[in-house]
Amino acid sequence: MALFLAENAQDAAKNAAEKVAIGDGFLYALLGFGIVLLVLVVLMGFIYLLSYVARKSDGLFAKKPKQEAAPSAAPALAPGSSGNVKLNNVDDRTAAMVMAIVADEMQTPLNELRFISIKEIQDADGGESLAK
Amino acid sequence: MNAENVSNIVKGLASDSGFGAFTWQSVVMIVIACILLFLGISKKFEPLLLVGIAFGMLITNLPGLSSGDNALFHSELWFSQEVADHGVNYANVLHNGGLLDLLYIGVKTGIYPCLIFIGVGAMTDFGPMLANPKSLILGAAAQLGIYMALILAIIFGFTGNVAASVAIIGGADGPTAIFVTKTLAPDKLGAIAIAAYSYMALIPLIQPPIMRALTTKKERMIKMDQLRTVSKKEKIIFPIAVTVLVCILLPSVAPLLGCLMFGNLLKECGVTERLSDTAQNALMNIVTLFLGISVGATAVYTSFLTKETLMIVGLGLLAFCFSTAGGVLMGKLMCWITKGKINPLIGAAGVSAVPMAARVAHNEGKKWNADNYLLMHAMGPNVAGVIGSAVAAGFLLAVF
Repeated sequence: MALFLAENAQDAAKNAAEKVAIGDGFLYALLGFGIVLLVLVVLMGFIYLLSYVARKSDGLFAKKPKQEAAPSAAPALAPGSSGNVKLNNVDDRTAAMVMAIVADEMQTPLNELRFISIKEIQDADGGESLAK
Repeated sequence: MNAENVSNIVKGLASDSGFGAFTWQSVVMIVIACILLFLGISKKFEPLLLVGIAFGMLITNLPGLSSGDNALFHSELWFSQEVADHGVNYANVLHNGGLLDLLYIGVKTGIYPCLIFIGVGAMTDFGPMLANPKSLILGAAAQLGIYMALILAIIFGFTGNVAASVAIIGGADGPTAIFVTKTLAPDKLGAIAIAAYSYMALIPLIQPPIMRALTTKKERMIKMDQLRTVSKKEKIIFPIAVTVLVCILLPSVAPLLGCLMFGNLLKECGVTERLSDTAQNALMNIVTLFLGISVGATAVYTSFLTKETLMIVGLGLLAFCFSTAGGVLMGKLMCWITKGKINPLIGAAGVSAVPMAARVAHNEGKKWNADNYLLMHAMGPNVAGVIGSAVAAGFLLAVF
């Protein structure tokens, strides 16, 4: 594809400073949209493959620690808990508050929600996008 | 010192001052710069960049400061016929240029957009996209505006280079727009950067009416399943593999996508926290500062106050609208295929603009179903849109 584009680019570059025929414009648009779609579909396929391989390898490695970890029992979770939550730059008190607010907003009991991680977003001015 | 000397000094100061050099064009540019400053400061429209752009525009259009020893930016060093014929004479720029000329080297050589992409990569979590890879399709569909604007710009008589630069506004990605325009149409950089950032700031106003017009109430109320947890391993392999895969497929994407993925790898690998922190904060802030003011300085009235600028602004708006519509329509198609498992509103987030577009999709969904939390679902197409617009930019650079 890169070779194809490079060959076309040489021809197009000569004419780029000139006006482009409307028919050619449609062709460029169609080709460009097709390439974006193709590249992202290839990426999608790759991600599916990646997640499949990652899950398989996790399954393989997960067996060992299970057997080893059996003697030393893990700390018991609170009743109804769905596991541990990872906190990044957030203290326990704030994390508890955030989880309570989310549960309240969703009108769902806290023990039916699963929080994976809570991270403080460093957004000095608040609200703006990533300066991009 | 006699009266004659005093009179001569006053006359000299008066002739040196810019008051005698005021033209209606410089007044119009100063007014436009002040309006942009108002929007940036008071209305908080993309303030991090719009304030810099507007101030650069202001300072370069003040009478007496557009050329000569006192000028911070000399447009003749960058946009003259001689430069068009023989390229930029960097020795001349270093010898005769002002501060903004020196800073503009970073724009002209494409350094700033790439550095910003490192920062953006370090701030971006590709987790939602990895958890739901189908969102990449939405990110691709939301690039529709780029190609619709390309066709329209060609129909309106723009040259191929300018048409491609106008079209990339539809990608809703500032650094990408700057990267393409500095190569293809540098004299239109000011107008295109201002249009791109202004529309990005106006996303909460532009997108919702289109989203509502193209979806039914039932579709807007759809609740999506919780995303799966993405392992650390996947997050580390992803930027490395994408760089290899996409850069081999489309080498012209390498500067932007390579930097984006490098920044993301710094964030995800877990052993370069200091570098990741610098990329996200110090580096990003410094480059944003340099980029904003030097891009704004290129908006000199000779190239800005033209009919073409108005057309660029109009086409940019259309590009945004088409991109939103493309994402939502693809969302509807996927909703139909999956028998109602995908809320089409998240398609609108495919227009890059991270994380504003995802917030808009989330807020719109919440209006119709208070229990609906679309933010993480919308972040998938949103970050896919960043990749999509970089790929589109690579295509335009390869062809034009």
